[in-house]
Amino acid sequence: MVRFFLVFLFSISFVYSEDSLHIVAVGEAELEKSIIHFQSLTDSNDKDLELLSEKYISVFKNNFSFYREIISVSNSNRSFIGQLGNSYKIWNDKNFKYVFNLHLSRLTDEEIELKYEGYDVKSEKEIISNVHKVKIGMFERGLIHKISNDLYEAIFNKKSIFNSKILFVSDKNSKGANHVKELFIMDFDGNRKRQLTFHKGTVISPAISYDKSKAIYSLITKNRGRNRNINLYLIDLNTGKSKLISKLKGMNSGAVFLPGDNEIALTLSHTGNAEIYIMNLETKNLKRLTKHYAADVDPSFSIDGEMLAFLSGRVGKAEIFTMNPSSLEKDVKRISFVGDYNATPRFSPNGKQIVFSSWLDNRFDIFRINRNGRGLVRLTKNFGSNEDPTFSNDGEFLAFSSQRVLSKTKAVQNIYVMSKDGEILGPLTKNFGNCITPRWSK
Amino acid sequence: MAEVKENFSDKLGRFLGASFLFHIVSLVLIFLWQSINLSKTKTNLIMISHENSVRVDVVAMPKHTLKELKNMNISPEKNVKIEKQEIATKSNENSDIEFKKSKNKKSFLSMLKNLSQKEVEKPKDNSKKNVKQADSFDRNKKILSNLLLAGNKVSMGSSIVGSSANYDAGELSSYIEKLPVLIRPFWKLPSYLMNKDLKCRVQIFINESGRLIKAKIFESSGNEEYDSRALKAVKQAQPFPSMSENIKGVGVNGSILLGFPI
Repeated sequence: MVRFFLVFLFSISFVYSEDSLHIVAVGEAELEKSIIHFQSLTDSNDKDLELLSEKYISVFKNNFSFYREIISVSNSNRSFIGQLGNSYKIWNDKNFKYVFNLHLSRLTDEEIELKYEGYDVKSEKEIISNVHKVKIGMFERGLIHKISNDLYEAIFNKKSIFNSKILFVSDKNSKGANHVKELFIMDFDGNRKRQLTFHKGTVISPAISYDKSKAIYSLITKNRGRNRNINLYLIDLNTGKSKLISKLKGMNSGAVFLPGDNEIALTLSHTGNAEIYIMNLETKNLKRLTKHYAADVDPSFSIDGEMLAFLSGRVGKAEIFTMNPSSLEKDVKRISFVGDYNATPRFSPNGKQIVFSSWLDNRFDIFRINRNGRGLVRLTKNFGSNEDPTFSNDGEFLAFSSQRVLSKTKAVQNIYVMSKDGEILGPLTKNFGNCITPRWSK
Repeated sequence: MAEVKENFSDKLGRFLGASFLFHIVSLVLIFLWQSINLSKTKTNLIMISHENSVRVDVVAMPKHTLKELKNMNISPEKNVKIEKQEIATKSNENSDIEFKKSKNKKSFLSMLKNLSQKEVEKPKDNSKKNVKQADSFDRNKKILSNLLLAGNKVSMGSSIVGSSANYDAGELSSYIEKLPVLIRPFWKLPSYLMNKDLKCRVQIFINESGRLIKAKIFESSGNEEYDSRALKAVKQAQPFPSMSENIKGVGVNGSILLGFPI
């Protein structure tokens, strides 16, 4: 009896008890920015060479300062090097994560040797190094950009913007009432501006090929009234030669290259209404993509070629649409639902987002939206009237044209660059006429 | 007669023996069954996940840029239910709170929803929080990128997933949601550890006054540096707010897990 009782007590003592853990998410970490230090190890006794070396160093610093969100450029002008092979310790003490050494030395009367090494201080290893022979008297900006890109790739494992170019249209050659708009090209940082076209006419809507070897643009003919046409030209960027490739009646404009650079998408109005087509550059064969009585213009292709974004008036006002470009009017989907007038939609390089300009508060501003129509964000505000956004090749930056009012009768447009989240870095053009329609090479 | 009695007592003895055996066996079986059940429940720890959630409806072009929104404050302790109670009881503090609000940066939610009548910023937490709150948007890019639909209607939500018992769920939830805001400013990773889908969870033991007694890795990410940076961020973020009588058990028992990132 007692045994029963004891066993009974024993069994009921195992009471079910609840134990709960409370989880809360801290969220994604912030990037701890590394510091990169550029230093010249050129012999300080050779003053000319030392000056050149310092100029090159400042180009490196300026390049990397574009990426201020992910890396800090040390502003020290001194060079730190260990005598007994203990450079890593010295650099570590200075908190440098990466160090880049540049040495210039004279080889002959006409040639200089340009030697460089890049180091990862934490892992204590050399990540790039090379030697080049360059001519005296030449400022090797292009080579510095190439080396900058190699260094960037060694650190971040992806391509930078340092080898990219930007096409744009400027009216700086206008004289008085004679308005002239020509095509120009410049480096990603606004340097080495070069005129490409000499039509003395009005160039509009340019585009650059993926391999940067050619560009297309449209030219408004000088005829008046009904005979006026907008023709399409192709220019070889190496030779500088332009040729006419389409002169169908009406518009032949808003052209963009398809991946592969053999085909282009453009707006044609020869059927009486603006529609979007794909044209083969060799055969000039046309493949129609849109068919609607409202205007369909401004095509933009995603880099994978899977999606086309365009502007259409089919809902009564200019809105952004996407479609599958494999056949006519396939999977047309409306993307923008708000805004009085939306314009120039452009895909990001990864194809996930579309930037465009929209009319709001008596000016244009730049917005970004996901390709599924969600996540609409505003990127510019209180910064003049901002149009024609174009993504950089790595998707981290946007170039756009911004109009500033100078007085009651004067306004000027310049090209600016900002981060993909709207942090304005600064202007790329200045005192160069009105610069518009920037196109960043991909 | 004696024979009958003898037979009967024999039978009774056998019966009692059998019955005793039967009872022992049943008890042993019950005991075994319960202990199996218990071992199952021990491994099924109830995970209660605390999340801040916001509902967004698109109605117009955004008024504010992405950059402006990032620089606005967000205060996770804006639990509307609790605030309503406080307003009823502390009406004389209203004017102080209104004044403080206009001095500080306007919170994301107040800007869009016009919650000026409903918001209460707990005065004692303000001084510590202001600096850290200013950074909270900046840190929370990924979550925010889905929420940044400015110029649109936004309503505050708070979701608790899982069952809860034996404490004031609202109060605990409110306390727990403060922790990420304190820790985020110290939660940094170098580029080689970013975007690698690493996850770790840190178990923290906090005493009543908010002091961190212990922090340990509950689930490792597999990367030693990632784990140690998470621990370091927790240690740097202390002291945490003090806990009331109702909820201090949760802190002292190590029932709070911090997810890096989730």
